[in-house]
Amino acid sequence: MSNSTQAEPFERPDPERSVPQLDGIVINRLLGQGGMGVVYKGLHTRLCIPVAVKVLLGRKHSAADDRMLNEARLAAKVNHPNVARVYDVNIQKDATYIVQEFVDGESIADMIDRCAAQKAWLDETRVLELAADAARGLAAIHREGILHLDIKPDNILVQKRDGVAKIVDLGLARRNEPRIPQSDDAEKANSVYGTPGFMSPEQIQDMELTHTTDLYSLGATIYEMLTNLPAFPGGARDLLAIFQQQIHSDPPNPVNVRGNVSGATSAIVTDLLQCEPNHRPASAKILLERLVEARRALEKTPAASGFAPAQSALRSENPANIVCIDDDMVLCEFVSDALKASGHEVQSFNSGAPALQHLVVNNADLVLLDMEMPGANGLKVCHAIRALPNCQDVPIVFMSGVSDLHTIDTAIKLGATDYLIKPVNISDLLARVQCLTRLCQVQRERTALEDQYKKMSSRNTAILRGSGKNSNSERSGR
Amino acid sequence: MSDTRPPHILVVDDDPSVRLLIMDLLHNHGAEVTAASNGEEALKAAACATFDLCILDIHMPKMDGLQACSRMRAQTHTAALPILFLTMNGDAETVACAFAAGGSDFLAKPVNGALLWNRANILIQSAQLKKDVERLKSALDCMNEK
Repeated sequence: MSNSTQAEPFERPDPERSVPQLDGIVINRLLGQGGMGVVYKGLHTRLCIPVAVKVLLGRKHSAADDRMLNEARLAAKVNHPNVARVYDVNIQKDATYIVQEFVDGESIADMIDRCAAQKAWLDETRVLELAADAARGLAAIHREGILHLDIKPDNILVQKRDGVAKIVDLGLARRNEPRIPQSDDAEKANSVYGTPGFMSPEQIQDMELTHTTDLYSLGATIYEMLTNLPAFPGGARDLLAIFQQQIHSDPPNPVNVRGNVSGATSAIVTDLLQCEPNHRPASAKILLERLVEARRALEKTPAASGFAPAQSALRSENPANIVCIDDDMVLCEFVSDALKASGHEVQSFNSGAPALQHLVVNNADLVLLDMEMPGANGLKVCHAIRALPNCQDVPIVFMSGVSDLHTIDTAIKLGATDYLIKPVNISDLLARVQCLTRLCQVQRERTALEDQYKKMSSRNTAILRGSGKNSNSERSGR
Repeated sequence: MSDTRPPHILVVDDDPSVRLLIMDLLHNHGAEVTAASNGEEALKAAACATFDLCILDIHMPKMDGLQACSRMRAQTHTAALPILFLTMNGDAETVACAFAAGGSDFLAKPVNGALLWNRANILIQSAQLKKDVERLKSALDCMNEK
């Protein structure tokens, strides 16, 4: 229910203040506002259940009423646990509305926003589960001969009680029928519906649409769930730029942003985002089978092995003892998994104090340090680490969301060896670890050889002195 | 046993403004700098002088950074030269290609001066340490033979 490109904008009153009076419904609160209307949470007074009510507000418009009626009629055909049910539709004098199942939870868009704010990613297994739910819902919609045409993170809600994902908002849905060519250009321009960044190339071009059109949108949704980033960056209005990316570039691969995505999952995403509809998985059912298979493969494989394919070039020849200090334990765990998969040992701490206690008595080959933490911030911790006698040469790499040049310079002046900006690119992290641990190893090797050289030199000098004394004794006849 | 002369760095980038920015930065840290604008020029420069580090852009006309890096690795006098790649982004595929071609490290553009100098320094130090290790090993071998 957001940002959909729509023809015929409506003039609407403020939905918070002018709550409509609906027959048989008591409105509780505003849930959201989108291109076609406003959604409230309400109580169905006769059925005595909470419902979501989608209301067309403002100037009454027969075409808009017809569209809502069409939406309700199409949605009512679908009876599936992964699609929000429609109970009723009503056209009143002052408002047209659909009464549908209230999904108590959050949208996938909310989940992505929350992860992005925490600088974390949704667990890949969870992404596959949610995508599988969406694929089941789409299969049910397609079975009824309907195309959804607006699949995106905002339109997939996840139920709080059991984590099941449900597709909502069939506002742009239509029957999957051969398209009647339109001669009128203006009419053609108005007939492009959907959300930029999720619409398939054929949807943008107003060409023939098929089941795979929805699969493309689901591909863009899965990409965003995995990376917290849009598959096709560009403003909501910049359809042309998005279209250019879609047709001229290879499909975006989530591995490029998140190195630990499994090969099976990234292949699903790139297959779904193929520009040519025939190159995508042929149906939601086939997609579902692949999602379930990828989910099973993840269960069989140890969590960290996902790092191996993308990072084989960075697999460490020198296993190192690494200390990771970050109050974000999700990130700590993620970093730790990536490093362990590359053969390193990792100790994680959620603040500077316990890490310093550890470093007093244990040597580390590398320290990864967050900047903003409760208690002493990263700069203070960096300074304190450098003051420890055994840590004067240990490489310290900052991992921080603070990216201004002044902070980076200050960190380096205080003894930081390197600085990575969050969200941390795993390739960058592994490259840093590899370079710095190699340096430490060569330093140690040189120190050991120097000691050996000094010992050998002094032993040889002693031997030479001894042999000198002997020859003197021989000469003096003693 | 350490070398105290200023490091000699080869900077290879087809963008004159990036080249100048990096050269200025390295000069300010006391390095001696030679510039090239593509892979071919870089190979010619590397054949005529000894460098302690090569900072190499990836996308360049005539010969790109990955090809130039592979060629340097195949030639005896540049086989051990530390090569720091400059990439447009740090995506996994580009990084994997850079390391597969023989790169020692990479830095994503836009370049932060302090970070570039730190990474350059680490590579130069590592190479210097490796030379020290080799010299010490030969010295110890000689001693053992005696």
